[in-house]
Amino acid sequence: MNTATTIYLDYAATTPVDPRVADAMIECLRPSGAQGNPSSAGHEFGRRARGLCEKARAQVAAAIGARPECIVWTSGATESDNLAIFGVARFNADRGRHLVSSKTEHKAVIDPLKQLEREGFEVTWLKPEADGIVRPEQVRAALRADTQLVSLMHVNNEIGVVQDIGAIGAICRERGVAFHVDAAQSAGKLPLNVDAMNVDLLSLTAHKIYGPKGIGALYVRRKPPLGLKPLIYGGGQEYGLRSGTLATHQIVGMGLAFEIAEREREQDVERIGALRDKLWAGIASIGDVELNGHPHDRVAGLLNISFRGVEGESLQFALRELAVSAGSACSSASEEASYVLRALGRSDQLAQSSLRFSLGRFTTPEQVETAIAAVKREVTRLRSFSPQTANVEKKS
Amino acid sequence: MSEAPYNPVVIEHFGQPRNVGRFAAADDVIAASAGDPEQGVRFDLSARVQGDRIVALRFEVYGCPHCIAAGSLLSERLQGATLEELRRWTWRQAADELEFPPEKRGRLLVLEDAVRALATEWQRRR
Repeated sequence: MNTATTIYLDYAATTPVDPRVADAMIECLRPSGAQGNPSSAGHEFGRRARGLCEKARAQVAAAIGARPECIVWTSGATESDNLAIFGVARFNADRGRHLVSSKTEHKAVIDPLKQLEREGFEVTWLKPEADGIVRPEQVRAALRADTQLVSLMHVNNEIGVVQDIGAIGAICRERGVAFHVDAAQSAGKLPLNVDAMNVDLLSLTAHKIYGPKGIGALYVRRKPPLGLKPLIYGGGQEYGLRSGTLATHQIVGMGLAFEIAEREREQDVERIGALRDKLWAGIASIGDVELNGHPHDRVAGLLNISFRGVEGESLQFALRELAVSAGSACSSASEEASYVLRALGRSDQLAQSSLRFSLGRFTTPEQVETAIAAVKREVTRLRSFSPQTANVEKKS
Repeated sequence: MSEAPYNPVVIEHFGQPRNVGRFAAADDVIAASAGDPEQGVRFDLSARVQGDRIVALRFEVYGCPHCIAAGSLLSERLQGATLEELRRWTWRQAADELEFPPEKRGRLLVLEDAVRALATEWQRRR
């Protein structure tokens, strides 16, 4: 099996870099590109690099309806999540030590919150309904006088369901509680507007949206200003919130990736959504499969499917011509069944027998046809010698 | 996923497992099982016996590629086996040939349990 023949259906783990983005990044790295330090305002090299970074900042800001000065560059969504959560919690520790999140968040949110629990903070872990959706009323009920932050993801990375961020944001705003949203999986797929969504902090990353790995951003509300304690100290870049020399070529890549994604979003979503529906119809026709998560409140391009009577590792190996994920890519190295699917009430066995198929900009109808045929063939084969379903051989 | 976690013997048996299925209950058929899909592995074994030998063995499995290969390999090795040979079979034979990762050896003990249960059933029938 090699990458030339393997069909890539793991866009939710990461996307290939769009060639237009790669070209822009390479230009930055050439001698004629942007070799200066963006902080070196005293000469032309620095000013050129700064100009490119500010253009990218405006591109990312425009994609989420924000002002450019609200964008803080980070190394990716994990750092953005850490900065938002630790930043708010530590800045406000004297005023209150309660935070609210859910059991199906990404580890980049769960693990910082667990660390805060060890440091004496209290976290309310909301349990979504079986469809994966956190009801806004659950959030309202969890808020207390000492709550400092609510952190919820927009689109779940494992099952693709969309949370009602606008309604939850309105509740937080009404109660004066800061609201952080991890939008790593929704940028370029859903319309994002930080004001309409009542969001105070929004985590973004480039590599899920056809940009490079290693660059992300945190939107931080400026009016009224939101207090945030930095994680990294040094040269005072990014308004003192994130020190370190800006990675010009990475930032340029992220800016262009966001501009392209927003410009082409509607046509991309329509095309990818149709391919996803075709894939689901084909796989559903096998029988004894279940779609995980809400059937309609979901992002285009992502299907998480449980296959009854088929062991997960065998299914993934049998389908090695398809690049898909078993559970979340970040946790699939472990033997533990997906904590997200377990939180939705799936049995260990069903959670373990689940695959995530995620489609994207470069997925073709032919690839989807091939994937359907492979899944049908291999699920049928593995079931044919599985104890629950195997045929009884007649005594001759 | 690369093929690296599995050796060529596993890959071959996984692609074309031998002797899958089960024999319908009959006077000359013995059957036994062990494991639970909730725990990630289950083996069902059934064998047709004549006199003191197994003349045909079938298996069904719910498990990882190593487990499927182990069931298939076992089904080949135990054709023609006596009760004594059945009793002597240990997980180590499959572990070496299939290069079972240490963390998965518990799954081979489940297969060994199924083989032991098959031997016990044979003994009881005699």
